Amino acid sequence: MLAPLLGVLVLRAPLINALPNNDTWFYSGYGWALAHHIEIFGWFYYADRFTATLPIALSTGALGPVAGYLVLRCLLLVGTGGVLYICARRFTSRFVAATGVCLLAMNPFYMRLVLWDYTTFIALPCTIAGAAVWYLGTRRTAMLITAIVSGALLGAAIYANPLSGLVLPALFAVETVAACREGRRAVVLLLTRALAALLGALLVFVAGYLGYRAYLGSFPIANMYKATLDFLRSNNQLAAPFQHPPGVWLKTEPRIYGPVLVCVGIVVVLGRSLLQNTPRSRVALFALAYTAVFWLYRFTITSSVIETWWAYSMTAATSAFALPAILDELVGRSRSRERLVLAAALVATGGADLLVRSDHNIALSVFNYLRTHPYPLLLLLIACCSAALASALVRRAGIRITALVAFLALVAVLTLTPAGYVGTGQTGEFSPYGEAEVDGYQAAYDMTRLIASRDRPQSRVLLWDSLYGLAAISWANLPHQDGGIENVEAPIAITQLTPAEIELLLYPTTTRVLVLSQSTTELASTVPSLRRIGLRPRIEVAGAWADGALYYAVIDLGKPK
Amino acid sequence: MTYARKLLAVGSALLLCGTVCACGYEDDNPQAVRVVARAFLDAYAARDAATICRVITPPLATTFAASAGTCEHHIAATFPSRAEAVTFGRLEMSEEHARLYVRGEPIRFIGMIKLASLWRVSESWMLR
Repeated sequence: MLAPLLGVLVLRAPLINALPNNDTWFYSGYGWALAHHIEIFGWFYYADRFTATLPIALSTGALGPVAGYLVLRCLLLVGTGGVLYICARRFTSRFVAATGVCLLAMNPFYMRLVLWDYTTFIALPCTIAGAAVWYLGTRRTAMLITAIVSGALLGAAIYANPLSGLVLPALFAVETVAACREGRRAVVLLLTRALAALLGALLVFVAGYLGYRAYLGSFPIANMYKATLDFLRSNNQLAAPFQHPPGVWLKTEPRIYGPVLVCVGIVVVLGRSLLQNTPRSRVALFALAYTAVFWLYRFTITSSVIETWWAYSMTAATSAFALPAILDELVGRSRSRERLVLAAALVATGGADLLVRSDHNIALSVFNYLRTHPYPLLLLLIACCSAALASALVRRAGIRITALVAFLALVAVLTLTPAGYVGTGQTGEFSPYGEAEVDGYQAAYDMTRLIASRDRPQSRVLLWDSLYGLAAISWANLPHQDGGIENVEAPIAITQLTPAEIELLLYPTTTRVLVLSQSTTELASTVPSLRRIGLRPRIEVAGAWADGALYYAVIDLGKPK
Repeated sequence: MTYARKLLAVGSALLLCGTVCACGYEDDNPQAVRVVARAFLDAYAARDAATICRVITPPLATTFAASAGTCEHHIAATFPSRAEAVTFGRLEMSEEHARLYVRGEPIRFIGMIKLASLWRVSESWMLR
């Protein structure tokens, strides 16, 4: 229960990480004003991702934006940890299982992907929980019901983000091999469970459709998947611009080696026991296969799943299942030192996390050095593999535990490396904005509700801001889809109006603008600018959000009705 | 209660919620289509080429600009000698396309496309 708290503390993780990123706001916006966004912006693929938008809508409706966000995260983190614990208990002791849950909470890939509104906040926990529930049904009892629940969870992950579908080849490849080894009956059982899982996924889809109907009334069910199918069809076009040459990121993105090293750890520590048909080896093989599928996918299909941190961080699922299996093996070799081994694992990971996140400047210098010096990085990787090897092979318990500490600490440090490509330059990619995130999140909600209450297709309220700083919240109203007048590729200060902005202001359906600025002088300058292009602006509403840090004004453009 | 019955009960509850709620939701996109179409025709009556170029789809504006230097020049050259009073009638529309017919005429219409979040004119008997 307290593992997420431990994770937040050692990672010094901001609870909201939205301001440095654009895409996360799309889902916040759809969640907060579903009917408005679909009426104005239509059925974008963002809208199809109902397992992300509906929880935002429901939690916000029940508790408000910030409290709803936090309670939803608590439920997701505690729920996922709980299911993982029960799954790990199938093959290991409760101490090892609990340590595994704590290590997951201390994994920056995992925490970062949960602590924002981008689709991964559902996709990653549901992937882990879905796989964990699947493995709960590998005994005779509750095989079908666990398959249905697992299918529902994996379905929720895939509806939230189709990339989560990479869990399926990993899970079913391992399960198929295991079933084939057991015989015909096991194969039939696997097929039956797969069909039950499909039923679970369909049930989630139906529930999502009904949930949307509650907000929108009747609409064609095809709207729920059409944009996603189009999105998948144009995968090559969409993914290609994000692709980066492997020769570059293999040398400059140390973070990508975190899950790979965990896979090395599985192979080295579990050794031949990986080939047994036991719950532990199946879980461990799944963990191995999951990261392998990412690499295979990257090199066979046009994609950027490794170089883009928000995609690759999904491999936290590998660590979730691998570490309990590794610890179980190591503890099994010296049962008398079980607690010492587990404490060492927790201290190594937690200490490394805390150290890196506490001394930001030194950490960044080290990471920059590693990024620009491939040989020291290679040496570090070799050292980490050697530590894994030593923890598995050395007979003396003291050395073995020291090697384990080194292995886990190095994995934690590498995992915290800032992403060089489309990153924010922060360790673990956590937001640098601190408490402003909470104010910004509340302001984004207030802004969205204000727009939704006035913005109609025939009388639009368009945003006008610079998109920088707190004004980045305007992404919740999709400025790139004419939700705002600014050019999102090259936004400028609002003291000037570009020809394209004037065109949008003069568009027949534009009747008002919502101006956002962190400066009252800048805000006041908008009225004369509008007069200069022949409009007769009149301020309807004005005020401040984000604890007085962000000023806003709704301006009627004074066009004839 | 068996699992099947529980699932049925949950499903029925969700169906009821989905059917009962959202009674107040009304799509105003048809009004937006009418506003843009009216602005388009009024601009022809006022010989306001800038507004016409503003509301037509960007590819159409680019095509006109390529033929006459600017979109406005092309449109100005095609203004009719006298403005025609038109009343709109039937509207056919989907998520992204709309056709607003002239009242009483089955062939003349203004075709529109929703690009980003704005309705834009893509087709009309006026555009030449």
